[in-house]
Amino acid sequence: MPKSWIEGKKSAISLCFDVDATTIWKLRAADYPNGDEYIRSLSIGEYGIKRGVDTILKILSEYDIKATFFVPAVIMQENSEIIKKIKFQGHEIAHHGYLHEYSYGTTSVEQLKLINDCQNIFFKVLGEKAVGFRPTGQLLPETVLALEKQPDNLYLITEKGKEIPYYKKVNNQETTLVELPARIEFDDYYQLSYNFYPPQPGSLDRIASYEDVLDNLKREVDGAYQYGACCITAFHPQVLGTPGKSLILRQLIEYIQTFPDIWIGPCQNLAQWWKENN
Amino acid sequence: MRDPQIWPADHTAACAVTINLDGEFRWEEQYPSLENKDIVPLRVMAKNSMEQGVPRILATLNKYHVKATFFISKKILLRYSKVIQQIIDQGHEIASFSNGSENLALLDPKEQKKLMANSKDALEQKIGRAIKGFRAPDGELTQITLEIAEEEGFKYSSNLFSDNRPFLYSLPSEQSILEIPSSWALCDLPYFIANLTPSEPSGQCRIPNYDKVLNNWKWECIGSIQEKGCCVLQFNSQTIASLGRIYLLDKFLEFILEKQELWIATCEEISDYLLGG
Ligand SMILES: [Zn+2]
Repeated sequence: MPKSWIEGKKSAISLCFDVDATTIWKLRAADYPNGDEYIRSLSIGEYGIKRGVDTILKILSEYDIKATFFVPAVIMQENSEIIKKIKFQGHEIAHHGYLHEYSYGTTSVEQLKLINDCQNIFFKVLGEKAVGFRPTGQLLPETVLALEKQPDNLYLITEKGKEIPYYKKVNNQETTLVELPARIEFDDYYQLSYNFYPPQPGSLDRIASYEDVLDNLKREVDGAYQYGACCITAFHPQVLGTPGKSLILRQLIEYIQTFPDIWIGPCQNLAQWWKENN
Repeated sequence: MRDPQIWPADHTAACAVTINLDGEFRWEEQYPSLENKDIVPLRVMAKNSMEQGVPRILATLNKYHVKATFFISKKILLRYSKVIQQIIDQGHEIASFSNGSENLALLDPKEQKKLMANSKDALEQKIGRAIKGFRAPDGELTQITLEIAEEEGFKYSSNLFSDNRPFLYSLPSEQSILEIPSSWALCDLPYFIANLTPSEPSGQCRIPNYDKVLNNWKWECIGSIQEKGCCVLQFNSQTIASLGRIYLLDKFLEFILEKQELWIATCEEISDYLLGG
């Protein structure tokens, strides 16, 4: 573990929100009869854009926190005003595929085309390309090597389970792309996402107790603090942005802020700092 | 339509308690390939929930003088006519839960229209006045389903999860219908339904701690007040009315009645207020 993090802090947390909106529900329903026409499951995703993002922006602004929002490019095209609003409030917008597709194609040419098309949409809507990328599908080694050569790209979030940033390895060779360590324990989808038909989760396991979810998240923060690790969340406006679940986020932030020496900020700043110091 | 964040008599937010009655038809529809004997535990539970459970729900609502909206399928109406009469006599709102427990999104528009119209007619005949609300059974629906609901004279739909307050849903026909949205977290059935064979839920999940589920509903309710929204609970007699769980309804009603900020109303009252009808 590093002896200290940005500004000499003992631990670092980036709050990340995946603005998946309707994309995941469209993909989910696609295999079901007449699935393209379903509106109930889709409406869960619509909540994210219609209310969830605003609820989260309000909380972040109340606690004076800057965060990172990962946005599928199609959602940026369809909802450019709200995405611009996120950016205007000082948050980072990062790359999250076009349709949230789970495959970017079988060749790196295909993959790079999709990625570059998304970046062009980012440039068109926001005036700049994303420096961070949480891909929704596997990247081929050649794709990563090509991304390394593009000056815009700073960091990736392609793996889960590690505790501190590291340089992404391709064919056992380190690249200059920083990999930020996401962990399942910080993904609200695992605890709280739900739909009857099509089923989400597949087992139709229960929506967890909000107080238990909050309590577990606090324990994860405790552990990261004790061992000097960093935390990258995968929260979703359509999940944590509902009236009741937003109280989990609010109380988690209040808890983090009781620690005098936990850094909290966007992924971009964290990755940049790590790169300069390693 | 009125501003859906300004509620009557200086209330900050609204809360509607809705009860879904689908009984054994839910399981017959879900497991069409199984013989009746193979879904016996679910059928027995469902039947008991109509005969023993609904009166318990009514007594609990009555204890707090709260009026609820009962979404009732036509098949339930026909099989449990006496129980339904008790609901009507106690002055609760009756709304349509379609015909049986069909997944409407899988039916062609003609068939959907027939089922929805029949259910509306049957319920109106029973209560002697127009019904206003429509909720599709747990499954999916399409824009066409809501278009049919509007054509059939329903004033509101309570089917979607896309907002924290009622809104006008624009239909392809360029008409619109009032949507009174809810969310899965506010439904009791997904938390509590349990059976081994056939597996409900499919993953044979454990039953969660009752009080913590109650707390989830409370948190959503508190959040709704903060957002000046409308909190729509969905209880199913098959899960909420069991001997050990009916107290959840009791405790929840006690909780919302303590919240002075809340306008506790039926969906019909919310719809009438917002649409001015
Ligand atoms: Zn995502």
